[in-house]
Amino acid sequence: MLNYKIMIVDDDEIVQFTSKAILSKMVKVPAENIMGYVNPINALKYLQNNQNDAIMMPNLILLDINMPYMDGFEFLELVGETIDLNIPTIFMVSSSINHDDMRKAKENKLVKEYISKPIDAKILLDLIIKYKHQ
Amino acid sequence: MESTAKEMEDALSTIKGAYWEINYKTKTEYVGEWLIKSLGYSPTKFTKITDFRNIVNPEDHHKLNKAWKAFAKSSYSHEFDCTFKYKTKRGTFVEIWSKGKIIEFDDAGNPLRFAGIQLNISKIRKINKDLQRITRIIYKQSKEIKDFASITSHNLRSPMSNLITLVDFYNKSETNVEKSEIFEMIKKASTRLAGIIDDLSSIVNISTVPDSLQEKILFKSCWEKTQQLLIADIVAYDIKFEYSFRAPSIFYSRVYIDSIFLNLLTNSIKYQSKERKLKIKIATWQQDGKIWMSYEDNGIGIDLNRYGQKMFSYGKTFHIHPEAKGIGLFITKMQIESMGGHISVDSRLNEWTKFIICFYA
Repeated sequence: MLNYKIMIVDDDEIVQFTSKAILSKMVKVPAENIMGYVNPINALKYLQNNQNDAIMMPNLILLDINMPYMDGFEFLELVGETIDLNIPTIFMVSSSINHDDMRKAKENKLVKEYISKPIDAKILLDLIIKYKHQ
Repeated sequence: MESTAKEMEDALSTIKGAYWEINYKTKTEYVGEWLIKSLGYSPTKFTKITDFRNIVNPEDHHKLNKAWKAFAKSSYSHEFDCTFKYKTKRGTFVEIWSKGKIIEFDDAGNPLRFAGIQLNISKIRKINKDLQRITRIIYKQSKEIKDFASITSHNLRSPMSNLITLVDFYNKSETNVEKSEIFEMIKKASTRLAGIIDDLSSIVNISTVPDSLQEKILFKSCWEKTQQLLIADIVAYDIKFEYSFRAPSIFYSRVYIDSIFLNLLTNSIKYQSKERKLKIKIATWQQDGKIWMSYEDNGIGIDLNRYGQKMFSYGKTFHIHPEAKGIGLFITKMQIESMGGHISVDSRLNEWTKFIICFYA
């Protein structure tokens, strides 16, 4: 997992903390390869600015649904509109048990998987391996 | 026939109805006395069905004539069916449902006898209206319960899942430094959980306040009280107020008014512009028998095309702001609506935000 880059987009700093810990300890992604964004706008800007550079782009985005300023679905919409190159694999991660949210996530073609919080490290690792070479 | 009709009349009076019959053969008419007596008139002046025309609500004359004409020249299968109002002797109106049928034809197929009943349905109408009102309330409440259940489950799930993960980490962590770092997070997460539960319980407590707990509230003194609560901010930011209380007072729940005003003002302070001093304009007035209030600030505003629908939803925040919890406007809306009113918002990004409240629907 040395060259694997992950972006976490979640406004909850505790989720940021725990997700980073899971990724670095259990999935063995180096801490410097994990980018955390509490503000989805900044995350989007990063993607827009770096889409020409495969090395800078994350391989995977863990995307929350309920966030201020822009929710996960609006984020996806803008990714779809503005990112043409090196589009990362996206997993939606949410504590939402709202069926509409789950349905919307599953219908979105940018979203590969829907993961419920709390994140189970084993499930996450399996999914990362599943999509690693796609 | 008359004695049968009289018996029928007695029976019909129990359901607030009266029998009538027109007989072309014998050139007689019979009109039950009960109804006319119940309207306060003397039955001697109402012996023919045409005599009733004098007490029909003028607005209903046309409708009634039309229904009668269609009926009188109709075939066997046609029924007379019309609702209209009679004016009582005291000058009030009662709602009548009149039904009739041709019960005998001559050999050529012309009607010979008409018969029917007139029912006073005022009470049924009232009960019906009450039922409709109650249905609306129940529908609204069941929707609120559903919304609340989803709010609760969603909002409690996320801090709970945080705590579960953190506790798991705590058990697995090997160094004391790590342990204390995680413990700090656990403290933070549990404080937040407590805060969410407080918020949720304040939502549960919103319900229609009975009249007995409502009182006359002066807008001016209520706003002054709200300002006192936030006086530190008002002085620090040099906030200016402009009032126009054309409706000086309202009969309302003091607890709700206090909460609504405080929410609006805290919002304005939270989302004030850094480029100009905060100025707030408040006006109240009376319109269509209701009391209205507009509340406008010159803060950072909001892009309503993007957020308009979600503005009053629970847990929606639109700014990256440490204090934004997305509950204030949700509670404000619920309080206003529980009292039968409504609130709407208008805004221009980076210029102003204006709320219009109608306190009674």
